[in-house]
Amino acid sequence: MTTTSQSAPTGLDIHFDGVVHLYPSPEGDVVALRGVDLDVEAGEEFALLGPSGSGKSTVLSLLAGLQRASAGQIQIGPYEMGKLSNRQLLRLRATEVSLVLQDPARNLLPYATATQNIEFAQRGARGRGKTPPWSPLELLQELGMGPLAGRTVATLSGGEQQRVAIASGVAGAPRLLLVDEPTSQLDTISRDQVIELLHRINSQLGSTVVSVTHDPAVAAAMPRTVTIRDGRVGAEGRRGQEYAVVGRDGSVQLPPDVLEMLPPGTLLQVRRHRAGVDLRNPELEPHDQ
Amino acid sequence: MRPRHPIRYRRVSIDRGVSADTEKEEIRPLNQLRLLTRALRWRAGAAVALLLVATVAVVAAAAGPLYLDTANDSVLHSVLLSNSVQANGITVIPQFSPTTPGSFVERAALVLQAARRYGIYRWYDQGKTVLDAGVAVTARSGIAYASDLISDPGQCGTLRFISGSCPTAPDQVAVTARSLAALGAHLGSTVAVVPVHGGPSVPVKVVGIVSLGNPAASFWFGGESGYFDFGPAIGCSITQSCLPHLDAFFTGAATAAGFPSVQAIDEFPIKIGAVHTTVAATFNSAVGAFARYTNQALAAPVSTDLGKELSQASQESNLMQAIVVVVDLQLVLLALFVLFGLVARTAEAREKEVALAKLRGFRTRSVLAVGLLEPVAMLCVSLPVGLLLAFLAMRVAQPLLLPGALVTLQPLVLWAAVAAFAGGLFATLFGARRILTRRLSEELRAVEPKSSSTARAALDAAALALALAGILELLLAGVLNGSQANPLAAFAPGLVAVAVAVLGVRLLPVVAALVVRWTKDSPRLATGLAVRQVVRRPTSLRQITVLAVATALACFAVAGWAAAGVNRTTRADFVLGAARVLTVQVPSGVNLESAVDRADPSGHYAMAVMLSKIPSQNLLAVQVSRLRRVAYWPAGISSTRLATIVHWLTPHLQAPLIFIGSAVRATITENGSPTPPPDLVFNLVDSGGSPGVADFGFLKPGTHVYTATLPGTCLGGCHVLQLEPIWNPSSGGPQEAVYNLTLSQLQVLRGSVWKEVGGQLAKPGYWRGQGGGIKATASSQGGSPALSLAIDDQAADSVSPAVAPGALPSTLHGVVTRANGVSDPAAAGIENFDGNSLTLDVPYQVVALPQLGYEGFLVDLKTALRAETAPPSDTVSQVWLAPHAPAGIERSLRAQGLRVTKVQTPAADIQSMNRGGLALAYLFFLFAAGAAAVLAIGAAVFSVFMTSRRRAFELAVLRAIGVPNHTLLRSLLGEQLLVLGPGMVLGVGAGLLGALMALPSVPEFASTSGGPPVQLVFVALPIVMMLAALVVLLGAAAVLASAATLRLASWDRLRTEIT
Repeated sequence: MTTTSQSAPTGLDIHFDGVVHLYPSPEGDVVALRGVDLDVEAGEEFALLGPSGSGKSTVLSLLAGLQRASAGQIQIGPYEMGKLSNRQLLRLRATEVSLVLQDPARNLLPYATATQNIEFAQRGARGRGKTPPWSPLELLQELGMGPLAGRTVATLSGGEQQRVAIASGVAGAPRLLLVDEPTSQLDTISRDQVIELLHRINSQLGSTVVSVTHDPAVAAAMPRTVTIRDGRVGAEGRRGQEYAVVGRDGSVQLPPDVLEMLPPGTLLQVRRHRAGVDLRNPELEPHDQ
Repeated sequence: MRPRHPIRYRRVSIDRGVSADTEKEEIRPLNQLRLLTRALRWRAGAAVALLLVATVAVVAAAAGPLYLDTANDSVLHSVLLSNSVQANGITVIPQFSPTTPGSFVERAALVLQAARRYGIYRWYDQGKTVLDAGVAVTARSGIAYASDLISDPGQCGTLRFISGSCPTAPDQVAVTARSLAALGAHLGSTVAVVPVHGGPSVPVKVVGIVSLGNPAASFWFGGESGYFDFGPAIGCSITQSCLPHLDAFFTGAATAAGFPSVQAIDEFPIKIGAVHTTVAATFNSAVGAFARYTNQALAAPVSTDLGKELSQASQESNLMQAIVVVVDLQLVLLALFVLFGLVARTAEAREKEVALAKLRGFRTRSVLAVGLLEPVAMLCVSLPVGLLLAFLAMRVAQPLLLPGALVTLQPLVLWAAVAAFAGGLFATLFGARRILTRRLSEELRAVEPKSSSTARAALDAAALALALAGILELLLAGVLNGSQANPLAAFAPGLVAVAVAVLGVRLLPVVAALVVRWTKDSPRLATGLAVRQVVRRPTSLRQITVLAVATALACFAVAGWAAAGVNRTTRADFVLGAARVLTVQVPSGVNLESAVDRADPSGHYAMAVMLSKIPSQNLLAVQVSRLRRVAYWPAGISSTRLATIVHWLTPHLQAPLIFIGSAVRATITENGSPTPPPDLVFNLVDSGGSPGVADFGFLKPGTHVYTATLPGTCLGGCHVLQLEPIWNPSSGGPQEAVYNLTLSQLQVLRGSVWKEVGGQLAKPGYWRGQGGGIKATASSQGGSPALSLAIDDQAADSVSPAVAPGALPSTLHGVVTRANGVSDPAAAGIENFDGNSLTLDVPYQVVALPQLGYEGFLVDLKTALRAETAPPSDTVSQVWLAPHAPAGIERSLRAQGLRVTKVQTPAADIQSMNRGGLALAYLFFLFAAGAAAVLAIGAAVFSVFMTSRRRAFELAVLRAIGVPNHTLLRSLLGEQLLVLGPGMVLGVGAGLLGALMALPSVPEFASTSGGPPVQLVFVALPIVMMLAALVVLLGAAAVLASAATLRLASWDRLRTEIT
């Protein structure tokens, strides 16, 4: 990697500003994102968490330029996504942003070798005049997958396929790597290898890495996590500590266990103190005689 | 390890790229090829299927023009082979021209040189100059004959000498034995020959006796020069002598050239193998230039029938071309449609790769490459492979189907293949459009494409409307009314099939839904599964369309081919007249009817026939009693039963008066004593048709016995044609004579005994006056029955009055063809073989007559011959043999003295017709339809396989929950058959309906010149065999595809894996 590292990418920062997204449906539009505010620093590695249908994958597809936000603004590095044409979005995916889909089969040519898959993935960047700073073999070796280089994808195990799929995601030297559920069908050993790979990509290649995951192990391994709940940023975790996030409109998403205690419609007393506020349900407090 | 960089954005436009060192895309064709190879191997089944279908499209497109070229050549050769060497060749005869220098012989030599100069020998054999001098020669008997003195280069090597040798020295000749006998000469005799256009006689010495050659042999160039023309005089004209004819006198060139009447004839036989349609333009140009030169410079016009033959070949080729183009177009379109369907099906397998390319930001052309490279690669391979296969197939088929024809890759073949390739590209692009245009987000979210049921309904409606409009147009334009041949009729079955199939596709889901209801409580799991799968995916039923169209075309093609084959056989049998026809020469002293009667006493196997093809006669005379057993008389040529016709034609004649002996005598009383005295002659004809007379000389008043010598051939029997009193007035004397003659005691000298032959002499009504100046009555003379003639002869009459025996009918019973235009069908005037007019009673009409075709008269042979008052001329004698005639009958006929010169069977005619343009067009249709059917079955099975393959997971689950393999196999098989079976059923129905509608208008059926009316017969066996073959093929393919699907439904399928 010494020969390639000189031209390795720097990461892109991400800014979501009140992003709303609707899916049109004959039965009525489905709201996927209800005003997401999110800032990610360049070169940061973080995970998007949240229950199924919360909007994580929508965030990912908006970042990849596969869809356009219904409202709000998305800024990725110097690019304001809403202002880019379809051609520019294509170019962006070829050169700057890469998305690794959940199923490895959807990221790879099953009949091709790992090397050929990397080369295939680089074709987009090459077609846009960008020469990736590494050859397929160099990349695979750098990411610890040298022994897999000549093997046909269809003969690889699930974990190996996932790792090759992630490698193909960074084949074109993207500055933002988006990974959807990278460990969903893997055993623990493969999962750890994938997490390690993501760390190496972030640290060695300098790309900003955004992973969408359900996997607590992945979440725990990430320096920063953002939890999406019901189409909003519900919480954020940093170095193992969970935080609620105050929205632009002053709203706060309560964690699910808190929400069980304080179901919607509950009247709360807000008491302010130096470090913040206390939310109390007066009906649950013992009455002073 | 590189430290993390701080944010350092360069604000650059995304359009110009983020990298300053923009480089051109690195092209790695080898890697690309490796990847393509891997992809093709990964999807080998689909790749092979694509290659096969694309190849079929290219083969079909190339085969059309390739076949046409080859078949045109075959038709041309067939036409050339069926014509005489003279008709095919070139004959150049220098004409008298005061302005053209050189004798005939010298100019003929210059013609040969010119032929070389104009390149004629590329297509014609080396020309030769035949010298022919018309001569007259008198036999020792005093009879004068006409003949030809001929010098033909190569004659010494061709003639077969019975004795003597070939004439090489001057004034030597070789003649046939029969000519020598007629002359009363022998080997070594000297005969004086006189040039017909005047000049002194030339004595020639007979140095060789030759056997009769076959004038039809190519050496004799059609025999028109009268090489072997022995026989009575044939009319009188400038070119034809009134004298009886002898066979030619073969002599050396020097002798012939010395005759002032000599004509030099240049003959150029054609090299059939060298004439091809591909060189037609060069050929016509060269022959045209040659003909212009000889005509203008040498006053030697070229005569050839080649133009007519080429025109005939061209007409056949045009008909064939129209059918082949129509058929080929349908096959190519079907192949392209199948290709489109196949690409659409197999594109699904590449959908994820296309999505991946879009995900990785590939340029549009790169996305297209990912989506289309495999099918386009297969298309590219299919172009040369298809061309090669088409060429090889034609080369393989050429000796079997089109012997002698040339198989060449003309530019049109290449263009057709390229057009099919272009069509394939379009079909590929159109078939893959969904995966290329689908939005990536939809693909990633696995959103099913919007329902296209409305689009499908619109497509179906459009197809149905187009098909119905096409059928309507064909009907309104009169293409299908059967009155006129139109190759466009071949479109009808395809259109009917499309209409039926589209309706079927729409109706079958309804039927299947009903079946679902019926099978709701059925314990048969396999049936239930199969029916439900069909109902669940009604779009799979669309395969019915292709299969139905292909089956319909196959059905139509087989029905048409078989019916055309039957009609060709019928036609060949009818055109010939019998299973075997012998053209015979009847030597002098031999009677055709008697010879046949003796060779076949049973009357079951042979029939004597005489016919004339002179347009004014068109007379076919047969032994009526044998007609039913021997002749081919197909149903449909007459509404009247053959038995009725035979009964009508059967003669009821009085016995003829025949003199068999050397002299005849009669007691004759002459009253009236005209001056000068009248002469009395019997006009006779011997059994060989040669005329003769028995002349009693001038008659004296009163009763006397007169004796007349009979011609020598009357020892074999001579028919009395007429009894003719001849009175020639003297100059200055009376110009009219009225007198009576009474004849009795008519006797013929047989050996040394006078035998009474006058049984019919005094028979009342036996004699019939001719010319109006004579009246015959029965009387008696000296107690003996006698014939009295009251004669009123006028010198002004150019024809002497005569009486003819009652054996000569004045009215014949006959049958006439409808096309003859007889205004009064009850009585038609015809010319007998002797050229005399007769009245024909014709209560019955037929469509056509054997050998004569649409115009002709059929009479009884015996009656026609009896009606003759002069020897027949320009007739053909034949013996027709029944199909089951014993092998020895020809030997028996020869033993009776008949000389067989030609043997014909319908097989030759059938073979010729089989090589005709229309038959070849049908053959192409048959192969094309077969290919289409196989293609459609393959495509349909493959399509259903691809559909069910997607259910491999579902099948694996069913296996996991304990559904037995055989049940799943039966279910899959049932599903295949539920989809494909109706396609075949609908196709068969549409094909037969199309055949009913279209076949009467297809040229093979509508063009029936000269033949019996065609019959639209459905020959069941070939259709059933074709269907059985299709069912077997379909069944086998369905079993294989079902088994393959079941193999995919393994336990592994239940785990997530790359597919």
